[in-house]
Amino acid sequence: MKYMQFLTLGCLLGAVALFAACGASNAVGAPEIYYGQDVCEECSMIISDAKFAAATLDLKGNAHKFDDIGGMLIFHMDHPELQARAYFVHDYDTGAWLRGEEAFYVRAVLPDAPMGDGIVAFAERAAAENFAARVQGQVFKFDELRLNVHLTLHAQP
Amino acid sequence: MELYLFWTIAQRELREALRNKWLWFYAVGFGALAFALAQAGMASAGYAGLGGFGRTAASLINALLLFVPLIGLTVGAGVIAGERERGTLMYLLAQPVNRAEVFFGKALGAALAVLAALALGFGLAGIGLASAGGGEPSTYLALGGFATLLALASLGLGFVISVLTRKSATASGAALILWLALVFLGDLSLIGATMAFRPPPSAMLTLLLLNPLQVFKLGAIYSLRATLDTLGAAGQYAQLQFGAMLTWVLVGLLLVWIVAAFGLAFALFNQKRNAA
Amino acid sequence: MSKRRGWFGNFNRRGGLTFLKLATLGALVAILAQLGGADALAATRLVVSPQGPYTAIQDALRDARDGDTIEVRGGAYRGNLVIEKSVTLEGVDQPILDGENHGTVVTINAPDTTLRGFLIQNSGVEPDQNHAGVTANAPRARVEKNIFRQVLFGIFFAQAPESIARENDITSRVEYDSGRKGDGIRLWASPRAQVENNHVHNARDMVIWYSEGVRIVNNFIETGRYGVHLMYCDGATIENNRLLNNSVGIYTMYSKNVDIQNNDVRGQRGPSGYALGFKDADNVAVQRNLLVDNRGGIFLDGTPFTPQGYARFTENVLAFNDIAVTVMPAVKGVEFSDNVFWENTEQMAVHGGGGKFDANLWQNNFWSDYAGLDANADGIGDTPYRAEKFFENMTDREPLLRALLYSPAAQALEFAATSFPLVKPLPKFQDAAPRLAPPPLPANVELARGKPGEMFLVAAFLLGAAIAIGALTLQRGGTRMTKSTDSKLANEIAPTVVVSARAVGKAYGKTRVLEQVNFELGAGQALALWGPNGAGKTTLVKALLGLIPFEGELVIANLPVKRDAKHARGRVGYVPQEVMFYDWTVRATMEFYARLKRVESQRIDALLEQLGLQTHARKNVSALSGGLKQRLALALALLADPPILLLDEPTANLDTQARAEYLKLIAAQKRAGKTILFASHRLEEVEALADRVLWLDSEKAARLLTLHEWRAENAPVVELTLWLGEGQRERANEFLNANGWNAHLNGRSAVILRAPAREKLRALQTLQAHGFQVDDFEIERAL
Repeated sequence: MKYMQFLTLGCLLGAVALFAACGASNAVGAPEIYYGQDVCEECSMIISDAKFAAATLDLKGNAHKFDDIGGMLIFHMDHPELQARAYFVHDYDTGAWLRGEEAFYVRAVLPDAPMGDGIVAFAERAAAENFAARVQGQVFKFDELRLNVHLTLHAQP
Repeated sequence: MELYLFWTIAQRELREALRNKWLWFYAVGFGALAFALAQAGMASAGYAGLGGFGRTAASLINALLLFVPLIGLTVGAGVIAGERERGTLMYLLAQPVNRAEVFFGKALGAALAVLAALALGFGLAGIGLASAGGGEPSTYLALGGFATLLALASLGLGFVISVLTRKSATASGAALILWLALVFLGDLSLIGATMAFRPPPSAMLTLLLLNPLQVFKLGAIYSLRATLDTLGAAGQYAQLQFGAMLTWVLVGLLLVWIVAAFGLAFALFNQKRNAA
Repeated sequence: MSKRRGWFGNFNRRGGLTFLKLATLGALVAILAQLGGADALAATRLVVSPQGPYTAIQDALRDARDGDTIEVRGGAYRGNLVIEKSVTLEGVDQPILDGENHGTVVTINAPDTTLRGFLIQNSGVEPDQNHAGVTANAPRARVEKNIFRQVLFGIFFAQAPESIARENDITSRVEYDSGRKGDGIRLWASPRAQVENNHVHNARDMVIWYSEGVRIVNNFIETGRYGVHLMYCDGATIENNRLLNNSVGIYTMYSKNVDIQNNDVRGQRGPSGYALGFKDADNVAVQRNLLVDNRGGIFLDGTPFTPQGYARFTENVLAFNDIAVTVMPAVKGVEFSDNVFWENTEQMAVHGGGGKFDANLWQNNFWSDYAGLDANADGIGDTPYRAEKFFENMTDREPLLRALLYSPAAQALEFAATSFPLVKPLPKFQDAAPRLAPPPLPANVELARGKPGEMFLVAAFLLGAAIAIGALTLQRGGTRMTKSTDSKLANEIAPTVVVSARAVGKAYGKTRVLEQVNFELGAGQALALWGPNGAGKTTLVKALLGLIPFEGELVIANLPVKRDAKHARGRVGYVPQEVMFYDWTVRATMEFYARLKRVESQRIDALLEQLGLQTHARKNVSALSGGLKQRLALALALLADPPILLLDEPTANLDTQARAEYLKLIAAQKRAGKTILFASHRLEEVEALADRVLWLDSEKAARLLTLHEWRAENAPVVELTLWLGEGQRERANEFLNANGWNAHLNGRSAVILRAPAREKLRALQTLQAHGFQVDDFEIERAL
């Protein structure tokens, strides 16, 4: 029966190692979004367009994923118990992750935006202003955008 | 390895295994249960017709998860230990045959017996389905195929037990314990671990795939329903990860279990040569 | 609850201004056209065909006036049409409009334009450009009976109020995955538009945004992503559509006064695979829909949206969904009545667990898992239906656990929970008045059809397979005598040395059991393996059979045992101390080993007769006496007529008579020229059979002795029990001891004398010579 014990032990160790590997992701990095699979936590729709997708990490380290920036902001307005430690958005031009707090935003009529909110993000103010001029949009910094979303999208019934 | 000797031993083992009343008890038990499920699932016309065959057959998965490993493990556990206990193994090995012929002959014989039992069970259930006016032969056969693989994997695990034990009573006991572990304890601890650690879907899937029963379950559901999203994030992750290869990945995993179990059993069987 | 207000207002302030302008302009133009038409000519019909009069649609468009009809005959035409006049483009014989992978194939900028009967293909594919088969930017466009192939988007109504898409057949680019494809039909700010009788397949979504009062009726939408995605569409009507195998069926967001009726929604699968989803929707009426085999039947978040709003689900059939109804914990005020919940894996889930027991109203639904009774036969169960399942509550809280659905462990948990009220799960809701029977399904509902005929065949095949496997046991396959080994045997020409051992040793762990075994045996010679129990006799037998590894070299009939144990075994007839047989008859036993040794069955009869077993041939071996069993063992050993017999204490379990007979049989084999090795600890066996003796004594080197040497070494000691005359006992004892004999008294009034066997007579003579009267004596061999 020695072999059996050995086998069982091996399996257990393997399982423990797996869990350890999973629990170790504590660093502040943008969570991975599985496009076409992950579901927006705000509107329950499938997240499929990286240009608009956004995510946050809350204080407990749990990731929240959204199909658009408006959804992200509204979700956290509605869930004060899940304070965001970090916001992540995509640069509309390069598709790279940006820290949401430092990005520049443009809000315009963009039929392609998943929720029709028409909010996109840029790493550089110049790029944002360029784009805004092209689509007749308005440029916001993060806190300004939050206020704008609160006033326009996040209304009481 | 001489095929003729291999087959002679396989045939003897098959004859012996077919005389095992438990084998038939399980086979008929499964067949009757499946028959009843099929009748119940298909009988009430109307709404039941909305579901189609996959739904009815999915209710078989539970029964299969209980019966198939039980058949494989109990038959496998008895094979070597029983002969060693009776003293016939030594005499057989003293004949002009080698250990591989004896071991794999026995494995083939036992496997054929298990296949016969499964064919009987699936045949009875199939009559139940057909007489209720339902059934989708190709998916039914796919289900049977996965059940066969699971049966062979558990037969292999039974052989490992059998090689390691001297008494058939001990072997049967160990087989039942392993059955309990595979059917209940493993999953219960997985439930506990999931609640405690909330692993990501990838880890969840990996943990699932460690258990051949779960591999069977995934394969069976996938062949019946062409999707695993019933199983939540882990199932979706499996589909995302493996795509069209999913069926073959699952088949491959069960084959790995079969080869590994029989391989380990044979290695241990050969090692026993040194000990009296 | 999340609160999100459409910023359609915003949109109106900016984009809407242009729309208003356009609308006014359009109206003016229409009126002018009417006026002009009245005093000028009536609408004309321009014909475009490969043969003319027009060969390019662009030319016809240039010449056409508002209200004209351009008839386009069968053939292929260049696309990228921009229609700036209110005309009707009528395709005859499905002419092709080809965008040549560039831009939008047809752009409609004039109101009241009709496009009918074309095959529209190959739009551009740039992701951000919304390249479409048809884009309408003006009111009242009619797009009818067209086929769309290899277009990114199909029909795009952007600010095209009251437009109609009807009876089109639309696919997007087949080579793209669902996210990269365009939408089959997209409505943007097109109020009161109608989408009817279209077949949309392999496209991305049907997006209906910022459009009030749309009607989506009688469409068949399959293998897409969002079947219908409503956002900011108050007053929408969605009826009689069929949605099959999309990711999501009908998803309604931020809209109110939405009617969803008589739709057949099946097979929506994937991460948000809901047949019907509602997010912040209000005043929703959902009736008589058939929601079958979806991952989720109905999903509710923030619906109804306002406290005074409603969400009513009545007379729907929810069957075979993974989860029939999923609600977010905060959802309240929904009514579910007169629905059928049939065999859903989970009837109702609260996403993430929790939720209030009485947040929503459930009544008069049918539940296929309801187990209550109806004593007063009013069709309503006497006890409420309650969704209280332990494992369900767990999966609601931790959806990952769904991976363990169908597992016996999950069932066991459920069973444990129902058996022990301590862990009884909290019910999620209750239906106080559940129906006992569902209403009949509408007759036109499509049902899955089984294939019972083929299924019978499969079942018969499987049963046949079971029988065939059983029949394999009957197959004998004949005994194959043709074996190379036979000719080998013949060629061996009776080697002078049949068995030899050189420096054979064996240790189990640190215990040496064999040491320096050396011997050579020819034909017709017999070697006794002698020694006490544990001296290594059986170990040597196993080594000879090649069953264990050993040191040194053993050669049997020129075959080195180490290298070719299997064939070496073929030259040995082995009889163990006690053969354990399978539960067969004598004959079946003989047949099995005959097959293993490749011996013809005639040989079986000969041997049975030779060994006096023929009358027992049909008996089960378990019914044989010990003696007959050992004879059968000998018969088995002799099956292949091997040159060597290897016997491991073959008579150990036999009585005296059986032993004598058995020895005769073996002696006969020796005379017949067989080389015999036998383990024994019986003197008479050695005397009767052996030519030489191999004396084994575990730790020490084995010694090969002649029979004479063995006798001398083994000079036995006997024990004489002497019965002497009355009163002579003690004196005789003293006398014997005084004269160097080894004697003592026993309790049975006798003297026990131990002496070498050949001295025993002298002891008796000495006693008599000294006047002791020996009445009687017994001799026993001392050990």
